[in-house]
Amino acid sequence: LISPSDARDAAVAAAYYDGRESTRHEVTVRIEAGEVVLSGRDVSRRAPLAAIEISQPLGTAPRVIRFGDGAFCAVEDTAALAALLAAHGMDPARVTQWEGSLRWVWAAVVVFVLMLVLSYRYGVPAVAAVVASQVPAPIIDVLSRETLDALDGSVLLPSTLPVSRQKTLADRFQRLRAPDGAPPAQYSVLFRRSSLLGANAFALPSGTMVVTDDLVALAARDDDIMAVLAHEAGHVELRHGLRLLFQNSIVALAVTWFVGDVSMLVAAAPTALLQAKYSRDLEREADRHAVAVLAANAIPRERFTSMLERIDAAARGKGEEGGVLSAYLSSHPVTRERLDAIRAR
Amino acid sequence: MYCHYCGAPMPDVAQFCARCGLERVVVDFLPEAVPPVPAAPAAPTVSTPSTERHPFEFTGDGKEYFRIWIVNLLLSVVTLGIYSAWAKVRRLEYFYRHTRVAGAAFDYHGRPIAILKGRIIAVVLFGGYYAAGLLSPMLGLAAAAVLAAGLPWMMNRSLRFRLATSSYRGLRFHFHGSNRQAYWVFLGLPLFNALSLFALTPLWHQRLKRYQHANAAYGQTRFTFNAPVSAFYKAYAITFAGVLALAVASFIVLAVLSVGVVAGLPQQGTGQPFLPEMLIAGALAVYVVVAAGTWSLTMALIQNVVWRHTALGAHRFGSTLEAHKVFFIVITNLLGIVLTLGLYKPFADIRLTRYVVTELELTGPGALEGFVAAGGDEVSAFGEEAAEILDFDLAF
Repeated sequence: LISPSDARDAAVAAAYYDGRESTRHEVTVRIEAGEVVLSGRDVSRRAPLAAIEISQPLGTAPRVIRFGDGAFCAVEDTAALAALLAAHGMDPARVTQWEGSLRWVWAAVVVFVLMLVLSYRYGVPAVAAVVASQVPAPIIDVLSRETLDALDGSVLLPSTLPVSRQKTLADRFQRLRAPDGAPPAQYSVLFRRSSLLGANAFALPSGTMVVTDDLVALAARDDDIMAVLAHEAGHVELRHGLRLLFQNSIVALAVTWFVGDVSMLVAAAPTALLQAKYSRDLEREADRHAVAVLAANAIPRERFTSMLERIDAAARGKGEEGGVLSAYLSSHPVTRERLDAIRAR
Repeated sequence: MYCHYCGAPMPDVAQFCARCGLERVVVDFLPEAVPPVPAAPAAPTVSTPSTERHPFEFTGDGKEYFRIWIVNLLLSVVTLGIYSAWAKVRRLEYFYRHTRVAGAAFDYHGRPIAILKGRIIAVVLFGGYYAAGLLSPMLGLAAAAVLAAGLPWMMNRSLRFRLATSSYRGLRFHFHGSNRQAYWVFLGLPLFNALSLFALTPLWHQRLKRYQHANAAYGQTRFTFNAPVSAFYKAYAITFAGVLALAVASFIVLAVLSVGVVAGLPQQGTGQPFLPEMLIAGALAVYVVVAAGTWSLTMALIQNVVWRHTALGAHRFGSTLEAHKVFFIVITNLLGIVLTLGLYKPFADIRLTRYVVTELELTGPGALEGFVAAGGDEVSAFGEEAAEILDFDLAF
């Protein structure tokens, strides 16, 4: 057994470098009357404890005693150094004590997993919603206009529907009552032809909605189109475009930061998986809005469900030519659950 | 003669070793040619007493680092990111002090406050850039141009900071690259590269590594770098061929699997999302395999070329990474991280670092003593932080 006085007088082996040359000097380290004392074959040096810096323990990594002039000692026997310092009443930093305690580490693991799940489930959507609600209207308008201009030049072609028909549909949608009795928001409904998008509709954050000719052709009555537009209006009202943009950006940033060292490219795969859930959530929210709008205007919700089924069938039919994948990846994958949720409301 | 890396006998005229496939080292730039190591892979003996081989070692341990990592992470979150600067210092101290060569470990000297300051400036800069991009694409373009103009300077500062905060045996490293060179390597050459439809990428990569290595110094001793551009073109060609083979192979596997699934499916059109989901998972797997394969091949080949042509005074470096081993580590690391919700990350970092470090070696006359320090200067951490946000890995 080592007596306390022996522990205080212990000498710890170390390698000394003078900071001017890379030559190694074997020394022993002792602590005497508030001073660190180094002694070796060709080195003898002492310095007050206040004038030196002793690195905190880092697992089994060598600890370093630094002198003011760049000279330093590397101590491999970290246990012996820790005992020597403890004997002189110098405790390691609190962070090191946490790292050393199994209880703290397990608590940290539990908190970490909880935090990860909660922030993915609630934190990120909440932050994105707040940020999205703060984006000023002029920016949204510019953003939406740029997007539409880009699409008009590539995937969207002018509609072949008669102008009168376009106007009838747009006017009918403008006259729909909002669910909470508020005056209807100003939406501009545009019609376009697109072989790539098929029977489809989408909304830009500014409230501009685009309906494809194929979708109009697919509808049995005008109320079918109103139901789809009500769904798109939900995306606009709830600022889904911007929210999705921010949610995906946050997730991409977090995953890249986390997996980043492995490879930027490889990190993209889990990101895509994590983001898929967010767009499904938003579709469901927009469905809820559509159901409320339909109820406020006495349109049976079967208009919506039957239209969704028809769009789904059309996308599947299209998918058989272009591969099953394209049908699945089309912007509105209609699943059983989504229809069931609408019917159950 | 014998292979310099694995010790296998090889014909005098051979450019590549038949066993490990590594290229013969060009030794003509050394003051005196280094004699090859004789064939004794198990217990490498040295033919001339003055030449010693010093393999790098990495003594870090996953379980030990996990504790440091999780405490770092949690404190960073609790302090809203402020602690991350302290966390970074602890992380780098851990990795540096566990990296050893010739009986001594490296050390890290970065100060948390300097790193924190750099992080704040970087966040403000890139936040401004992001906001400008949201406001108007034109404004975003202008902000990007301003950032691009400042980037080479930041890269230069980043390299200065990184080397100035690293030491070995009490001597600091230094970076002497000029801003003029930085503008050529980080702005001029990339522009020409884009104009050439990226045919100059290997050349650019070689110039980048030359900028990093030939301008580095340990104390007063300069590093030298003499990798030919042709070696980079060859590495890229091998990567390209390898990735192509990998992509074709995994697509064939995917096609066979999906045909099997379709044949085995009793009835289609009942709204079963089963088939597409399986196909998406398959496509994702192919993507991950190809991306990880690209990264591993490039990483292993370039790392080997770079270090085999780097010297510190009369001491030469060597690197014997094998792409398939890097690939295995990267893929299993990714799987581990995904399956454990990220908790495997510290183990993954240790595994990859251990492999890359232990395949490095230093060969030269005598022990690593007698190097002399140069006058030091304080370098701000800002450049490194700004570069890190953009995710340019300039790891030395």
